[in-house]
Amino acid sequence: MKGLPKGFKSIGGIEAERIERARQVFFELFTGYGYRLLLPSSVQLFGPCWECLSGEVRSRIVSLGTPSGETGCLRPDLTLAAVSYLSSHYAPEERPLRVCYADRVYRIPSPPDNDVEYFQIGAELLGWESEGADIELLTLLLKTLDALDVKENFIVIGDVTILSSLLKEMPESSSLALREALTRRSFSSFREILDRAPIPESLRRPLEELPYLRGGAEVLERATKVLPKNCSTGSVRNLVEALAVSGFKDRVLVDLSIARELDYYSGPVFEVFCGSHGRPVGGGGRYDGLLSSFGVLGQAIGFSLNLDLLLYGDTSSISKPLTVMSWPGDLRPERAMRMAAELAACGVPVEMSWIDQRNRSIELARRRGYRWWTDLSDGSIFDLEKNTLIERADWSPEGGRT
Amino acid sequence: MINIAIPTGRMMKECATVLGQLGLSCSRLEAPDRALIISEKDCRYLLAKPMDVPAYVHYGAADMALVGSDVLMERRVPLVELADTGAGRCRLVIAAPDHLVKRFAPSGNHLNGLKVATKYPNIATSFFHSLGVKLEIVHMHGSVELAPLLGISDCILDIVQSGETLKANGLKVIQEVAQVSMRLVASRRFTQTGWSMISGIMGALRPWKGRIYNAD
Repeated sequence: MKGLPKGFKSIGGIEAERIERARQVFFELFTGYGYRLLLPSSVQLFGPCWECLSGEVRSRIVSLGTPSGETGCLRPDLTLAAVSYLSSHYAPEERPLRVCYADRVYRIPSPPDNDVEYFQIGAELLGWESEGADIELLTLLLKTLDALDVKENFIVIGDVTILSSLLKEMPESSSLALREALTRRSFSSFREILDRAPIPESLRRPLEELPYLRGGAEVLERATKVLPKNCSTGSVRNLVEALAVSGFKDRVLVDLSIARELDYYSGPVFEVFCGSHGRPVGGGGRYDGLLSSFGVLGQAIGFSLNLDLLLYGDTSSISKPLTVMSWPGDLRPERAMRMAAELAACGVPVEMSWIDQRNRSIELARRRGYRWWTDLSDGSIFDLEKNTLIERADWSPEGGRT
Repeated sequence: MINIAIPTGRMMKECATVLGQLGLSCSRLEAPDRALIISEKDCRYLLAKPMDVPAYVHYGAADMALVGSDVLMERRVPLVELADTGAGRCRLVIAAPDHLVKRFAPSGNHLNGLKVATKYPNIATSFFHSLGVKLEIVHMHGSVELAPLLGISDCILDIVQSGETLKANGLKVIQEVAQVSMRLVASRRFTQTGWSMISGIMGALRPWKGRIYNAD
């Protein structure tokens, strides 16, 4: 696209309408549960982003210089902006705080993707540490997917504290190597490290089994037998059971080996899948480190979804029907606009046609798929489908474009 | 139906052997025609250029794939690496003509400005940057060994199996960058939805602790 750097894009037409509708649906749902909108700045300071974000996001920050000489970056993440805002605008006694957002984020693309910017929707619930908060957010997340009519969606729930507990007992070098292998999702490396690392026998079997502890809720039974007593699966179990009661049983899976940004999350984590995408379209979890870096004690839970991936392949038509093309005839434009406003006020979508010739205006209306064409100067209405003139008194825009 | 991406070219025959050992039907892969999609029983094989295989899995067109670890290193596409099959073993090396070998003896500044011909620009950049060397990459798509002979580059970074091709073109291995073998990979989605199938395959691998191919 002319005038745009590589990896950036302008979005228009039906694609823009779909994104806007998704934002509206999402906001309507979340504001209905007490979440407040956040419109974060497009540019953030580089330092806090570097310090607070996970290594994976950190390596993809798009840095820039601000007009005042600071080192900034294009917003790589909305959670950071949300926590920064909440920590500086609300007193501790005002918690819990709920925010939701739908905006662009910017990251250096990781292969094979090319886009630097994409739309993200997400929410954060800060300062409520009971499992109720986890259940609330996951329920609303699944409701969002339903409201957006996202096909074949499901979530996978894990808990990063399980892996952390297992690795805590190990020598640091082996622990780091195993973490790294699982973060890369290289089961073969994970296995190789286990084979050669000096691992206490009590930990060997749980670690060997960990990548296999995934599937339906029944996995939790097996996990109880395999994992040591200090590795509690209680949080995951509670979430899975609560979501089943809420009618989401078939869309919830368990994966106790999720190593989602281990340094960032501090409890249950989840990933969201949909359609034919081979990778997650979003995810989230419980975190505390980010809050403490902003001087906030406690925990929060949040999620974000890549709206571009979520809506990929969406072929639904969402434009309002094109109803009336209005031709001013010999009226002055300001008078024609007043009459068009009367139609619009009645809920009839109107597009003005400033073409001089009547026939060319009618032809344009046909090309654009309008059902009705009106001459504002005499009030006549033309049914473009039936090629007949209709009296204004008999006309109803119902049906519009067929 | 499970979709499995397979690299075309010299790896394809070995892929068929590995798939057979995994208990998957693949008789039509032994003598493929020009079709790029081959269906057999419950499997659909997608035949792709080796470098494109990770993208097929990433975008969800393929559930699983067999792919060289060299390609995974080069493409850096986040996939789930299930197992090292042990097949297709070779090495990723730096090789150069005899007269340039001594330039590599001391490390560091002596190598700055080095011109490296390779099919693996990302691996070459990472490797030489880790040595603190600023280099010039000559990205080639085949017959990389020609480049030093014709003065296009100082050395090459490429895979080597027996070393015969290098020898025939007057090149010597200077340094090994990585061991290479064929990996079984899956999409992150399929490791969740198709785990019962994967665990069946992985179960067969366990006695070999992740290696499913008897290279000997």
